[in-house]
Amino acid sequence: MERALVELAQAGDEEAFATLARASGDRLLAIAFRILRDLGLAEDAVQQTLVIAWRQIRSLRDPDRFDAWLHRLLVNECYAEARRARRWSSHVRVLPTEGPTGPDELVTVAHRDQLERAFGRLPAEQRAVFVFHHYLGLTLPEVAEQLGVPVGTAKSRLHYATVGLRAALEADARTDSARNVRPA
Amino acid sequence: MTSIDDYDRIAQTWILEGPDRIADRVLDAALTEIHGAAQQDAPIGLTRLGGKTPAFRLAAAVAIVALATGGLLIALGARDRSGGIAPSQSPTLSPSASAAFEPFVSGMYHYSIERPVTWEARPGTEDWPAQSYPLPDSAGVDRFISDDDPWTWVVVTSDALDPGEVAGERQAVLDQTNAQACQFRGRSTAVLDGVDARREEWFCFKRDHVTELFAVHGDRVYLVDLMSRSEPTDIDRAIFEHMLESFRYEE
Repeated sequence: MERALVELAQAGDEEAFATLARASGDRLLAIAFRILRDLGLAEDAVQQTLVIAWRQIRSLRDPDRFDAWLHRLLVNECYAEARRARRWSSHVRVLPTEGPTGPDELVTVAHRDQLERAFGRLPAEQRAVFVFHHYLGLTLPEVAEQLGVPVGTAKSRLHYATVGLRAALEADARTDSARNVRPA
Repeated sequence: MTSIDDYDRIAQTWILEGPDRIADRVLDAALTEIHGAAQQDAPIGLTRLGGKTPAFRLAAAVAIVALATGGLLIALGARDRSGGIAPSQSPTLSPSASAAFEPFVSGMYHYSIERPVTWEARPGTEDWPAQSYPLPDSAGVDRFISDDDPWTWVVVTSDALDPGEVAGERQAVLDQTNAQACQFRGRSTAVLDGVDARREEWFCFKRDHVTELFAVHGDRVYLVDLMSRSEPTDIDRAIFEHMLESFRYEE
């Protein structure tokens, strides 16, 4: 079904492309938000991705790889948005405390704050690998293929992202425990 | 007491949180923008070869590369099969070649090279990391990405040797790094812009094919790599050889 729609879109059928866009939109936004941590930037990245996808869809050789190809375009747009955001540093960070997935009791408000800060310090390339692996549930070879990097690079980026986030939580815990043992 | 696993689980749970529905206005804005917008044709040239038979691709590769380099294949035939490229065998570029390759000058890494015009160039902006190896997708290298296969790259970088450092020490770091992730497949000698170079073949992470030239010029070490996720095609090999032929150290 999707293959047929992709082939129609490659032939210039806007309705077919609109169907593909609507089917992919939620997933694209979810990925973009988790990489960029800003709803406005994520929406811009998705919108731009869809426009680029329409323009370049004829360059997609294998219609069955539409989703992976779209993910690659999205991540490139996220990198661009992240660079723009860093350059102007004027965007307002949106920190959703509730969403369809809902907050987990395991993750406290303090954790969220620490993780947001630490994640924001990671290079966008590391954030993308972390999201593709832990949010989309892709294996590292799959992540590498979708992002267009060697598996070793994906593994390395995931490692550094994990270590960075872990360090932020550990530092926060150490601060808390130091506060607790200090005499009143 | 919170363990490392707990921290990782917290981070992995946190990343699941957040919106997962796109606003209609975003989709509508995108679809409005594409309405009536032209689509780009698929790239012509080498990219078109992707769907053809291997025999066709090889024949086309010979034709295209011969045109592009004005006799490179003749030079390749006469080339030292051990990998050396004699400076006297540099092909003379035909007028048509200027459309296929264009000069790229790296002030950052002190060299110039001819790159295929259809390959994307991502210039590096950072020095070779101390005591380490510049990752091929890092900002520590100039990267040229094939338009035919996003996994096929030519990567070039260089670094000034530290005071008192000899090139062999830098080479040892490279060897050690490569040995950690790669299978050694062969070594030969080569010449890069008139300077003896070491040429090695590696197979890394059980999927990446790497041809790496290591050379020392003045007080700088240079790396030029061809990397691909499958065996490099004849086109890629010929392009890489052309890039090596055109490589020049810049003082």
